[in-house]
Amino acid sequence: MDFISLRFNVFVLAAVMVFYLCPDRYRVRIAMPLLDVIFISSFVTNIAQLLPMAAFLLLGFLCIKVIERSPSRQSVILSIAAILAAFIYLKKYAFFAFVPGITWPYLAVGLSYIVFRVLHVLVDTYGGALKERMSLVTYFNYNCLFLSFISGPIQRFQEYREQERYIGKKEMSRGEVFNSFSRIINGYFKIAVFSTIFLSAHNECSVRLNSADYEFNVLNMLIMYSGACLTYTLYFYYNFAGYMDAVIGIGRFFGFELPENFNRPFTSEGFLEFWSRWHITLSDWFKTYIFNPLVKVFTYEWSYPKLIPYYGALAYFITFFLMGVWHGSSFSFLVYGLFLGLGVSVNKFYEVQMRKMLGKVSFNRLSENKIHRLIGAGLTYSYFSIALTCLWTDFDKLTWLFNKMGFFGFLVVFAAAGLFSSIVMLSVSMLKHLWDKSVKGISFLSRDFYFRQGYLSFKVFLLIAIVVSKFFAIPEFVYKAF
Amino acid sequence: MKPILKQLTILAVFFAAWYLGAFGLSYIIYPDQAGTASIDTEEASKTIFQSPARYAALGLPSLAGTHNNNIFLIGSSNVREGFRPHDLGAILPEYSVQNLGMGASNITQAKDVVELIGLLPKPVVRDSIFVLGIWYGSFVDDKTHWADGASNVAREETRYGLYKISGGQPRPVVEMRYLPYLVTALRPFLLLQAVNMYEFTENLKTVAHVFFRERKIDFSAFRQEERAPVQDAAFRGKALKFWSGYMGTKDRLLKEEQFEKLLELCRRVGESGARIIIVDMPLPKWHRDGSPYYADYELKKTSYINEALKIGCVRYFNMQGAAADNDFRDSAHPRASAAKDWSALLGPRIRSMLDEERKV
Repeated sequence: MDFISLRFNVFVLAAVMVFYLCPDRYRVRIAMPLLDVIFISSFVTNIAQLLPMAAFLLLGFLCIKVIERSPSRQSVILSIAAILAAFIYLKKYAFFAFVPGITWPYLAVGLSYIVFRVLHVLVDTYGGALKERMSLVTYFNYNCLFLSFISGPIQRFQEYREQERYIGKKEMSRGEVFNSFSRIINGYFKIAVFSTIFLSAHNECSVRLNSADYEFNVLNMLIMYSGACLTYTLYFYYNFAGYMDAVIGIGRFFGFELPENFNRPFTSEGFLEFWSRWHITLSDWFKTYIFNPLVKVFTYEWSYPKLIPYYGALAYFITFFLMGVWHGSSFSFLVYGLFLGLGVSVNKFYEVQMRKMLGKVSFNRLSENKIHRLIGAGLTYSYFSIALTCLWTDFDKLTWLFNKMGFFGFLVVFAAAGLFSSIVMLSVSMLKHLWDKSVKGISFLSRDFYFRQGYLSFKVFLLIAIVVSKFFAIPEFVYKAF
Repeated sequence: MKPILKQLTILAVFFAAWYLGAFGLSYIIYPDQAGTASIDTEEASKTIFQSPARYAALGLPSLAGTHNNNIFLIGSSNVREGFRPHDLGAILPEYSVQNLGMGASNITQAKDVVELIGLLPKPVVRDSIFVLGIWYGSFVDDKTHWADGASNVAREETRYGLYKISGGQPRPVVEMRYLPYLVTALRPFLLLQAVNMYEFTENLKTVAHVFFRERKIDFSAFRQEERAPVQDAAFRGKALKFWSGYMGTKDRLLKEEQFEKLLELCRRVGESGARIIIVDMPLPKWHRDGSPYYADYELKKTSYINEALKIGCVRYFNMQGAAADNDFRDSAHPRASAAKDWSALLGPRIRSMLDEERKV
């Protein structure tokens, strides 16, 4: 079921009606699982395609039951190993291509997020943070909630459970309903308009990189590559953030307050900060379950006080390397992991070193300097854009690019694209400031009923016009692939 | 659930208001020309369709309810400008002249138009006359010419979901005679597109598509002016350079692909019971002499035209030498005054073709 499709919207409308018309006692136990099954089934053509995912879910449930019954270190390690092995097997990681796989096509969408939820429950159950004995229905609802099935957000079970208790019991206010609709429509707008525009721009650049007929000089290549990178990031952001907006908005209809995944990521002044603003639930999960334990281990195993600040850099490298690898099963994602790990660890190393050299106060003053912030933001955007190359090329093309451009070429792109991005960000910020000033006088309109409804419905009108006219080919949801 | 349904209802009401408002506005800005039952792509920018391709795809169904004999003018912009409906209509008053010429058409796009016409009810098409204007530019191959493989007409066919492609052929989603109602319902959305967004993005895409390709196209030679610039050596050089870039092939040869499509087009016309007259369009002598593609065009054209003539419904009319260089305002298009003369040549030719058929 495509996210931007009439079918999905009809499904949501029907789901809302089923949900609220269903008696309270059956809502969680019957209505929710039914809706989840219907949604998941829309991705397959026969039941055999669901079997591997069903087996994976069952494995996860059994492991949780084992931990609940006998919470030993051995059992949790074995459970984690089993879950990860099953995940790697089903995702068909290229490094294990020698292992015979399942011969028939099967559903793997959503698996990458189910594994996070299962591992989190395993670890928290063992650690005592999660005391509830989970039923199969609760487990299924948590892992397969149609709202967050495809690509999250990754919600902790404790938060999910808390909200599940009040599902259908809280009446939404008019303002909350309006805000939810507004969020959904804004989300669709981001996908249908902005992500489409930037994908078109990216394709115009990348096709010229890929064209064998195109004879370019090095300068043209660097410009084309920079264009492809910068536009891909914006496409990626608007596509994913748009999906999140819509999912969060729809979730509120069912009483779920799903966690935010984006918080103005392009205002980040460093790569570390970037990951506290981009795909927030993913980085929170990795921080909690990979980074923190790693730092504890390093501090415990290697007690050199002078090196303690650098343990963070090493832990970041490993954490973000694994995060990069998680994104996909091919060798390109190894490179992506290296990019992410390097970016974050170098950022951390920079902070540690600068604090040492300048002192904490001076370093903080430097960090607040406008030019430092602007350059930081531009370089962060530029670096992330280059890292994302791994997502729109294959490994062969990556090596081709590296051979053609060389390390120096990438460095030039990083610097030039960073500078360009800084200038654009400055311009956008100035334009926004001017805009805010100019509309200040008419801000009362945003509280006017007719203006608000008229503005929202106009966006719906535009959206339908764009979808109906196929003005652009609206891209699929990008994170479905991960 | 009540607040959700209430908000949905409010949204629906406001949406309806926008829709009806845009619907009304569309008739104020672009009054309905359906009553005239004639299509002239030269006037496309004055209609809600804006582009000739969209005008053809969405405007042709309006002919479904007519009972006229039609002359369908098909080809590139030189056809669109060279044979004006009122000029031709004056010579052949028993026919309704539908001008479906489109800038930068190749034979593939012309065939797409013929297939669209073929969807009209048989009485509308059966005794019609297709006038297909060709010149060497009509034979630019699809891969060189269309950025994503589909002609502008083919893209417009599927844009609004009014046609589905089945077996490579367009099929209307409802009977052709009901399509105009669906087109009417789309007017609010067409209005939005008409606000130059389409032209702007299409021009952007064309510029980007052309700018980065190996061939360089000099657009400064392609400005359209009635008072033509002096066609001095500099102008001619730029124009010839433009057309070389347009055709794209390094070896300066035309691919067989478009010639094959010409034969398919003729057969399609024959199947519908209509006739087709292939008109070899005039070009300035300096253009014919200076183009590296012209010789290959002459060579290939001869054998394919002979093949086409065997189809029975096909006639051929060579107008290559029919116009003096002064008749042209640029490298391919006639001045408005010269266009009358072109129709004055074509009209009697069509008349004599009809007379011949009556004798038989």
